[in-house]
Amino acid sequence: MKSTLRNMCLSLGLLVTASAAILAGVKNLTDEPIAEAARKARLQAFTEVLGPFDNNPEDASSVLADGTTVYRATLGNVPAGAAVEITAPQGFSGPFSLMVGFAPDGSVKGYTVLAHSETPGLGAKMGAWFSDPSRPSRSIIGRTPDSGSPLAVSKDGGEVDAITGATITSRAFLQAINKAAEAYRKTQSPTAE
Amino acid sequence: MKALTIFLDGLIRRNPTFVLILGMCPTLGTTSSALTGFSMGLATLFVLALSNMAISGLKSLVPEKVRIPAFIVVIASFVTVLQMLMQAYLPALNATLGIFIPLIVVNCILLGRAEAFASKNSVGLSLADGLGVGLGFTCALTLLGCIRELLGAGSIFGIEIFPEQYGALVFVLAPGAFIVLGLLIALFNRLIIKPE
Amino acid sequence: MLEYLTIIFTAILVNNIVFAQFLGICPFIGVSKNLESAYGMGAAVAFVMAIATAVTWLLQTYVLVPLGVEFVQTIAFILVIAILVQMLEIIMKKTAPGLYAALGVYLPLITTNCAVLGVAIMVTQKGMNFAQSIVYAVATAAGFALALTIFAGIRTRLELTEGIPQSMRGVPIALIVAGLLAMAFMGFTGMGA
Repeated sequence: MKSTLRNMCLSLGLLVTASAAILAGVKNLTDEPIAEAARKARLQAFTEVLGPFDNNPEDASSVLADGTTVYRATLGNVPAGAAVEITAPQGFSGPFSLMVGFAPDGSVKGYTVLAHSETPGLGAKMGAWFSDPSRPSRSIIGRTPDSGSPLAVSKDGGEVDAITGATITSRAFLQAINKAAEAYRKTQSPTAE
Repeated sequence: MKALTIFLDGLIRRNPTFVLILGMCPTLGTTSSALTGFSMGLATLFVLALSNMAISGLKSLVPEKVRIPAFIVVIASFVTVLQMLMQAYLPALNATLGIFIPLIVVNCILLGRAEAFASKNSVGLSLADGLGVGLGFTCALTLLGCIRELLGAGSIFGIEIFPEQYGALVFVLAPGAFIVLGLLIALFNRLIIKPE
Repeated sequence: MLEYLTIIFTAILVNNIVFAQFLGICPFIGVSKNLESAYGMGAAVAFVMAIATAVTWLLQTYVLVPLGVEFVQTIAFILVIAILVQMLEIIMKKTAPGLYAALGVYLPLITTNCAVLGVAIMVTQKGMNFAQSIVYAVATAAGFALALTIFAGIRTRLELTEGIPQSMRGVPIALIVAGLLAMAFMGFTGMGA
């Protein structure tokens, strides 16, 4: 085809229109699955950190001033703890975010790392390091962080072993867990209800 | 027959990674494990095969002077389709590959094949070329990912070969990417390009 | 002020675009054979990256988001960058022939420099405001120029080195040097926190 101005505009215009139409079509098709995938991922995280529950914790959530979100779970109308979504601002390679589950008595039931950019092989190990039941000096599961005795790495006088070679990540992780526990207690106190 | 030659050419003799040294960013950035390298290769293969076909089919309708912008529109459209499909059906993989998925648009391999091959050949041959080059890229990324994962974490595709703590972490990190790729290109030079 | 200093320090040294984020590798390998072209390419990338980030940030905030069509981001950004580079080339040729003589040959290469599109997308993903985005873009480009200059200096020496095996010459040995540089840059990780 000749490179006249009319031809150039016409062909590019047609191409862009066709591409826009295709993209809009694909977007319509994938909108639903994308929302579904995000919902599933969240539900998966809830199940992982909370154990059994039968309400939709997203309907019973409250957002605190610093952006931390507390999702309360119930099982047969009895409180079954809560999941707290929190961001640790001071990771080794930038912020990372966690979902932490608390039992009604305030002890840690489980956690999962939602997003992070920590070093692979070092800080990135946090997903499994702090939940290994066979290594009680590492595991935070079942511990109750409260304002009087927050969780801390053993190097700082605490009881939890830091990830080998990743003390900064470990500190940031435990600080986030402490903050999540505080957020959970805040929403538990009768005034918050 | 000709399609097969073109396919094999793209796979080995004009391998985009080891011979043409193109598309270095995803090659280094996504090969910290075999699985991520393999997935990135397949994602690129998908866009390359489709865009090669579309550009070849459209070649008589696009005026010479605006062909580059037209190619970019075609490639970017397929990348966006891929992005949406991955968000919908492979969200975890999409999060791992991150920014390297939209950046397929600026992978020099795609524009290079569009300009050098698809805009001059038939739809069928362009598909063969796209598949060959795409597969060559996928193989290169998978190989690089396997080596880095094995040396760095002691496993291949997540299957443990030796315990992780004996791995040299540096191969999973940035320096390992550059060094392993450099050695692989040297090996390819020695064995395939100049058999002495 | 401190916030901007952190962005600058992180973008240049800690998260260096070449050594830590693997973007802009093609020009990094291709245009680093001598120091002069490294300076030219570095300056051209800084110039384009700052302008492209400004324009795409405005496009994203005032057009794509209000219209609810964020999904066309990739296609819109790459077209804007391609057009911008063309326009810059024409304007520079007319108004600043000195600058054009110095940077002109590198401009067409920049359209497919993934660092430019990468930074434009990253600032929207990180939710940076306009000023932060521009500072981030300029600092990232400075990091690119720094990497390119160091690398070009080493490569001019490599050219004179005898005894490198035939199959290691050129790109392979350059990549291994880049690997050692990346290792040196790893010394900066964690300093942003």
